[in-house]
Amino acid sequence: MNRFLLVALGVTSLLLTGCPDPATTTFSGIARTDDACLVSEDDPQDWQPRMSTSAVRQLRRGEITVEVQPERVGCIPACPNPVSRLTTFGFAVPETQNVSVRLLRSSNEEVRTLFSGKVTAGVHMYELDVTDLTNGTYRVAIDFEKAADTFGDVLVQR
Amino acid sequence: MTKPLSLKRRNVAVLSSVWADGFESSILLSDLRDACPCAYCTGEEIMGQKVFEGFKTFAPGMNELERLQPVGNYGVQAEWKDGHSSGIYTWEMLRAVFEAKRLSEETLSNIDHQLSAGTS
Repeated sequence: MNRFLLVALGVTSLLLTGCPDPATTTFSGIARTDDACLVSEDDPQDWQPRMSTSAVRQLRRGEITVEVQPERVGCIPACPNPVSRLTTFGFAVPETQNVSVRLLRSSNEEVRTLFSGKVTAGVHMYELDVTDLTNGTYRVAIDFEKAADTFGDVLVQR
Repeated sequence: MTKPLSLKRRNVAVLSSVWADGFESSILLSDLRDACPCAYCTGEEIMGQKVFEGFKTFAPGMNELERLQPVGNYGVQAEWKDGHSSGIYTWEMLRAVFEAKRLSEETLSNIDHQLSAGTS
C-alpha cells in the first residue's frame, strides 16, 4: 500500500508541477490521516488544499493516503524496471473515459490485454506480474479515449 | 450466515454495523473502499489463473460513500462519490472487513473530535 502511495505522490508531483520533490509540491487533491482527518490546516473544508509540511511528513511515514485529481492524462512508467517478478505502472485521467491497457512484445505483437473498459477520473495503478514472461523488452500500451495513446517499455530480466 | 441488522454511516469517514449475532463494529470508509471486491479493484481469475491483477485507484471522492444498495438477500452494492459502483460486498465479505478493520472506541472518539473541530 505504501508503495502505491509513494508512487501516487510522485505522479502527482510530476503531473501537476513537474517537480519531483514532495516538500515543495502543491497538490490538487485531498489528503487524509488514517483517522480520516482532512490535513489542510488552513481550511478543512477546502477540497483542493495545499499540502502542508506536516502532511508531507505524515505522507512520508505512510500515515496518510492521498486522493489526486489529475489535470491531464498521464502515464506512470513501470517501477522497478528492469523487473524480475513484480512491477508497478499506472496512468492518470482527468475525467471518466474508456481506457485499454495492453502488454506487447517489442515487435508490437500483443501478449495480452490487461484491461479494457471505463475508468473514473483519478490515478490508476497496476501491479504487473511478469513471472510467466520470458526475458526481453515488452511494451505497455495505454489507449485513451480522449487523449493520445502512450507507450512504456518494461525490461524483463532474471 | 450472519447478516447485519444495520449499516449506518456514523460520520463522513466511518461506517458502523450491528449484526444478528450481536457483533458490533465500526470501520473507516477508506478500508471498505480498499476491500472493494469488484474485478477492476481485485483482479480477475479464469479457470483458477489470474488474468488481471486489478487496479489501485486514487481519485477525488474515492472514500466518500454515496449509498449502499441491497442486492438480493446476500449483500450490498456500494456507490462511491468518484463514480465507482461495481463492487458488491456479500455479507461474508462485509463481516470479514468489519472484523479485520474494527476501530477502537478511542479511535472513534478521536475521529469524532477531529471532524467536529474541522467543522466548527
